[in-house]
Amino acid sequence: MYPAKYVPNPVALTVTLSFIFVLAIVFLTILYLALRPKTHSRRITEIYLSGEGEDVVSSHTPSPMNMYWTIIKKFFNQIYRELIEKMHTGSLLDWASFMLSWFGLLIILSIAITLLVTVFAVLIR
Amino acid sequence: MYDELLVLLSITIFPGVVFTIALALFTQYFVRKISGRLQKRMGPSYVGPIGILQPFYDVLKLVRVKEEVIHRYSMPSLAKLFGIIGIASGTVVMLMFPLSPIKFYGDYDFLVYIYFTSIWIPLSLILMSLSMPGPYTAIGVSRYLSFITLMEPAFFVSILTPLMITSRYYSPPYSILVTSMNIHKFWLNPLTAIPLALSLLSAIIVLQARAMYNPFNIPEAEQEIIAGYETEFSGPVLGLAIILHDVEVAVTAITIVYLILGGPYPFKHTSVQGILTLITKYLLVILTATIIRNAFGRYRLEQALKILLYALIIAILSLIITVIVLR
Repeated sequence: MYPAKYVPNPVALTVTLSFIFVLAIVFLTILYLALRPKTHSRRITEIYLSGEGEDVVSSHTPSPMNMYWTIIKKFFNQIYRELIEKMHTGSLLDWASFMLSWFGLLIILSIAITLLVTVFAVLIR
Repeated sequence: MYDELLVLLSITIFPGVVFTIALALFTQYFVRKISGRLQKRMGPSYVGPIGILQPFYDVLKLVRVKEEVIHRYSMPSLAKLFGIIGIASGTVVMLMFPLSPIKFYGDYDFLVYIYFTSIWIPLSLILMSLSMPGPYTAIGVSRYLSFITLMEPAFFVSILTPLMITSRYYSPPYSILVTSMNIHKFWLNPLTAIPLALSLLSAIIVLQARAMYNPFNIPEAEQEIIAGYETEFSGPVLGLAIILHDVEVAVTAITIVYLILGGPYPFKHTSVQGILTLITKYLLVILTATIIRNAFGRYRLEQALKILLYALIIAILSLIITVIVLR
């Protein structure tokens, strides 16, 4: 009954839908501006933590590094603990063997991928 | 000219901005009403017939009346912009479902769907939250970030199963529209029904996590970290955050209804049976999420991540079974 737009090229489809996305953003912004009252009340408060002023916190916003370490330590603590136990034993040999095994694995993976791509390229020629 | 007008109406009214927001707010009403009943409360009752307009009124009040409480590091305009971007990305994907009068589809269009729902919506929510920084906001966002690492891959894999099944027999491959229109046929075949049931299970768990309903209400963790990622939201910013959250829930539920459960098919959208089937399936999905929400308490983060890991494993299992069955 209604038209269906078949866009065979995935890139063209992405571009079309991105254009629609922008149109939706514009429409939503107009809708929001129309709904918003002319005089908007805004109250500026002090930042506080558990009733204390902002002088008790060392930095006002969390640094990206802080967030990274929070995620690593709290939520991926199993991997973190594993790394500490395997690598940070105090022995340089442990560290070297850990790093070498990882780099070795990466080298093997890269060689394998290169070989696979080459074989694939030869096969489809 | 007629086509352009139809596209414009689809973006703005149905199933675009107005319909998506209305559906999202109705979903919020339904969840609140059912939760109220399950807890022997009335739920929303005063605004509109049986309180159905309560979420709409709440948002309107936040946008029009309530004051904006900010501190000197807040960027409320940026937060609002990210809120609008998130809502827009939720509405765009509605044009890829058979529900839309004008449907956009193509080869592998599910990747575009994933781009809008799994990248833009969470990213908007995170950036919106970080635009209004605070100590509890940071904790909420970091919890949400660790959720995403398992939640989005699990959702991706769970919707890949129905897409893979239909792509074997219909073209264009991996299309949201084609899968939505044909997946119902594969529920009748026991060999394909098993992976579909597994992907449904995984998708329901992801819906629970995306909606941040119990036991996954960890990023907002009321009382424990005040309101988590939305602690610093107030007035219009809170209104937009509520809409964004509800749009995410509604879009995920619609995806489950169409891609896994087959939407209104074999009936047409324009038939009474079709509309009733579609509404029933949608309400059943939301009802399931609401019952789970009320049956569970809040998990700790590592427990929740373990559940999401199981959801991912179930989804991968359904994909493996699909590959074996289709061979």
